[in-house]
Amino acid sequence: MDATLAPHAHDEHPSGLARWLTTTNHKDIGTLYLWFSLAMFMFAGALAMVIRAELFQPGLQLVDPMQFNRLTSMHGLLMIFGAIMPAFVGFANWQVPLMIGAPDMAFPRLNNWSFWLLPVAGALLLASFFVPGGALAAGWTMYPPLFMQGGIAYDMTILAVHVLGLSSIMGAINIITTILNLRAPGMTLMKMPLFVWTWLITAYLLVAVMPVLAAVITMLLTDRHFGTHFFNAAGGGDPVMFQHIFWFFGHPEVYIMILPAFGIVSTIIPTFARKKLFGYTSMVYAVSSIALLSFIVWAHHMFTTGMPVAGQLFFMYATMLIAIPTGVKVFNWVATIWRGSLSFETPMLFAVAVVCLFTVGGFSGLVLALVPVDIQLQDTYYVVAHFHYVLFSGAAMSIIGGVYYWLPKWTGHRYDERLGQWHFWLTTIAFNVTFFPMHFLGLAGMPRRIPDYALQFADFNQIASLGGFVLGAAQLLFVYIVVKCVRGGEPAGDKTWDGADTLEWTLPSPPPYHSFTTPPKID
Amino acid sequence: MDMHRRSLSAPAGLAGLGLAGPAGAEFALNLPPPATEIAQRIHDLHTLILWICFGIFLVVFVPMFYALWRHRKSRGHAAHDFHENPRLEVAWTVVPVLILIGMAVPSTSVVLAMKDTGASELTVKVTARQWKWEYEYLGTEVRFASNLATPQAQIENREAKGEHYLLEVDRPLVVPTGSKIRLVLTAEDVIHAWWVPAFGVKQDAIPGFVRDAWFRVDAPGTYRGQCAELCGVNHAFMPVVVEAVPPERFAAWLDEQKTARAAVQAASARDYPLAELVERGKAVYAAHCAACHQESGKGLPGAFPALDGSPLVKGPLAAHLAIVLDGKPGTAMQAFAKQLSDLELAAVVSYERNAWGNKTGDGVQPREVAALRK
Amino acid sequence: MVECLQLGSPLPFRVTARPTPGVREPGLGTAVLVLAPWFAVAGTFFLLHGAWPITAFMAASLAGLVAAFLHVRRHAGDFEQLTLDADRLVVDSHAPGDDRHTEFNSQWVSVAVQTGGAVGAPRLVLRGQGREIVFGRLLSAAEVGCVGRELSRRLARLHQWGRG
Repeated sequence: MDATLAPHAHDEHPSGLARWLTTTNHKDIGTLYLWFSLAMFMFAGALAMVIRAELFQPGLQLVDPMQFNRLTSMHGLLMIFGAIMPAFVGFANWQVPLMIGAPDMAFPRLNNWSFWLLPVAGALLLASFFVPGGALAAGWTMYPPLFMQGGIAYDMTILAVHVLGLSSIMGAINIITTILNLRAPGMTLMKMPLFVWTWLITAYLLVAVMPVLAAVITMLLTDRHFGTHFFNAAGGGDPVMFQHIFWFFGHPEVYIMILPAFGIVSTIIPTFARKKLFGYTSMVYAVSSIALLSFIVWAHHMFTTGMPVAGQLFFMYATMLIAIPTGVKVFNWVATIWRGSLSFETPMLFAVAVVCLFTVGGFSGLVLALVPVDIQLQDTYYVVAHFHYVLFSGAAMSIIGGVYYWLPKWTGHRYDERLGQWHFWLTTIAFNVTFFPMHFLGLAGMPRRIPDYALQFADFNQIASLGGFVLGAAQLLFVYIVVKCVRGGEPAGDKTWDGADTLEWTLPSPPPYHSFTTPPKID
Repeated sequence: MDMHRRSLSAPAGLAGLGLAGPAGAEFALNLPPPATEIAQRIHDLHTLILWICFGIFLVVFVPMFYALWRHRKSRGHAAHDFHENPRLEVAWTVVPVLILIGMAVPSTSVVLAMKDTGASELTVKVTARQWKWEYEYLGTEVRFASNLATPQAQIENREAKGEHYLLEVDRPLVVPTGSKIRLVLTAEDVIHAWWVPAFGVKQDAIPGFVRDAWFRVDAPGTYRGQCAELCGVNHAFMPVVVEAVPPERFAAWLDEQKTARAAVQAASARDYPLAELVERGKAVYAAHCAACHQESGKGLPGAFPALDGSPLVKGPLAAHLAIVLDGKPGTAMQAFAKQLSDLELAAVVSYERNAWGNKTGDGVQPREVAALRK
Repeated sequence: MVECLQLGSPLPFRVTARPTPGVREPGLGTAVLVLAPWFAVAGTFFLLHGAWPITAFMAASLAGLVAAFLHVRRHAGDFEQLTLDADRLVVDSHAPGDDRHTEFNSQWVSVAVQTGGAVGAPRLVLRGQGREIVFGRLLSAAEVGCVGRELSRRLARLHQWGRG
């Protein structure tokens, strides 16, 4: 007989809806995560469009203040837990097994459950808009005692965040086990692509802090309904303790949303510079130190709560330290570009933009790290500008760049390069027009989370709104490009990018449904 | 003043990379002109950091854009094979450490100064409620609430907006110039934050806890700020206004307040006809109740109950009075017992019972409210 | 993963399936080393400050991770093996505490692919002499199809010979 059982031309697996509901294949599940995240990105983005329309001029026009608070709260919650995190898990599902030469994830069924929890949570959050009292309006940070004043939607939000947390933690455990156990023989830790490294560290961060989030929202729930007083001063609790616990989760969470982005950028730049990543080892150490430091800086979100001076100084110094490993990463990227052989396909454009714009977000982060300046800028639009520079032009634009980079591999078709370039320039320019003026608004004294503002802030708000509308419209183009690429296009070839050197490019495009059933040789 | 602002906003303008127009009142690019020493030091610190960041930006990105331009494949540039340089890597780790130390030193000294609330000459207790500030001059009997003064019609675009739209209050906090003022802050319902940018003071007011902050302002004038911590539906409508006046004018003002307070107490000592109570109550309602329950008494469905036709309002007087005096824990309904005088409470309850479709025809006298306080 | 070996015996057909190829380095030590001390410090801190639910959730999270590694380690030696001889079809399977050895007369065995509605890949069902066993727990869907086809082909040939 034949000595091998070559995978058959047509793979046997269920088709239609049953395929997607029951699939345990890492590629299917990765695809599901990415579509879910795109849907949430567009929905939460639509909420932002309403926010920017309301803020187009002073006075109340479109929504009442309560509705406005719901929009800002849900925009934040859905973007973080519905768009950015699932997108990165989608990348991990597709890419981690391909990049380490594993046939699938370590726990394929667990993987299926991790994904299908997401639509459940998403449905709960969407439904919360329609219950009496309306959706969460206390900010995505859910600070008590304001949170205590909410209605049934707040309990639904707690439940949804629990479900999302469970999904994340199951996904993280799966990713850790996969990376540590299923690497192809010869793939030592220090040979792993940097994207895999960043995800390994991210997964550890998830396992470390998701229980903290789960616990703190459980405590909110018991405070609301079961007579505990964790955060109620009248019952001997402390509302500030909530903030400590929340940010103890929340700051590592910020890095959960940026470390995989670093991984994607560190994959794209060497490809289009046609040169090895500069300082691979120092990159690994930099990512690890950022992860470790993320545990001791949480209280920089709380400088205005009035902590003792020693606390303020400690958290200020610790926060400033993060600039060092982050700087190392940026310098390494620039050194990778230096004397390369550069070309600027869409993924590279996004990666370069991420390096520049994320650095701007890093600078405003440094400004905010200084306690005196932070006290002036805390809870202003400066902070809004800062976190959109790290989360949109850091995380979201890396995700978009990563999609352009791997879409040919995933679908077997090249995306429309001309439209991709249009999408890049529209996004980058509109992003800066939207968010750069927010630095000035914050400096001038405009608080965040307000539906109406004093007249002196009118001009920059108008500019920001116009930029926001273009930014939103540009993402419709992205959806069109992705759908077009999935449906067909020029064949991508096995190795779409001549400078790419990770394992997935040794496979056909699209890769067979079951890849690396025999582990590849690593030299 | 304008010159001052223009020169200081130069770095911000540079960082704007040409996006920003000339600095002016409308396109303000930088922190507002400082009115206290702390605010000035924050301003200078921010300017310093901005220049440092701008310098780093050039050092990093000028070479990068040079490479992006010169080392293109389309120009035939071949990739050089290097991916390590230990000396360079050590350098770009050590140099930032030195820069950070350079930033940390001045910051630390400002932090220490900000935290030094001792030796104050006047202490004002600030109590935050949804959505107003209450100021109490400790050691005197003077205490009053400070509410948004912008008319609803301006917010709803039915009237032209005034110059200080959303940044104006009925009664500002009045302080003497040249004295160190200590604020002790707390809140009754949710967390708020008292913020005046020109003073460099932003401090959360936390229910159940007391925090403090201080400022010393030298130039007389009106300084405006806002609540900076999301505190519910009317978070945007909770401004802070501070009026700094020369010490002698402050002393006179304080005496005036004491006299006025005595007059209020006297006014609560007698009975009023129902029509007068309802008339007075209408004004109290507009200032304290309409933000949630609305001028129409219809409330906001799902968030704030309607009073028009409410069984509680039309029902027994005792229950109605109890909820106004003591509030409803866990909701936005505050305890008004400490906020309003007996006359104001009697008036507003009488108003609610007779306004809109509520024609109970009964009212309550200030002495009845006073009796409940005991 | 599947290994198909050509043996020297007549009519050899053997499929051996093992859980996953990989470095076989159950990183339980690393996983615990990274997280446990951290959870111990932070968990105790929160416990002392009255926020005991955090400690409980942290313990659950760590337990989940440890369970995942233990599962991988426990099942690292699992295998399923199917050997088709001239007259015998032998299926051996090994899992912790569950070793099975089943023999069929290859003349009397039929093979079918079962695609249940449950989450997961399809399996092969072998029926004969009143017994029924499922094979393919460790195979991917494609491999199940492939092994199924190959086995059916060989069995059909055997059945023909039997009749002839």
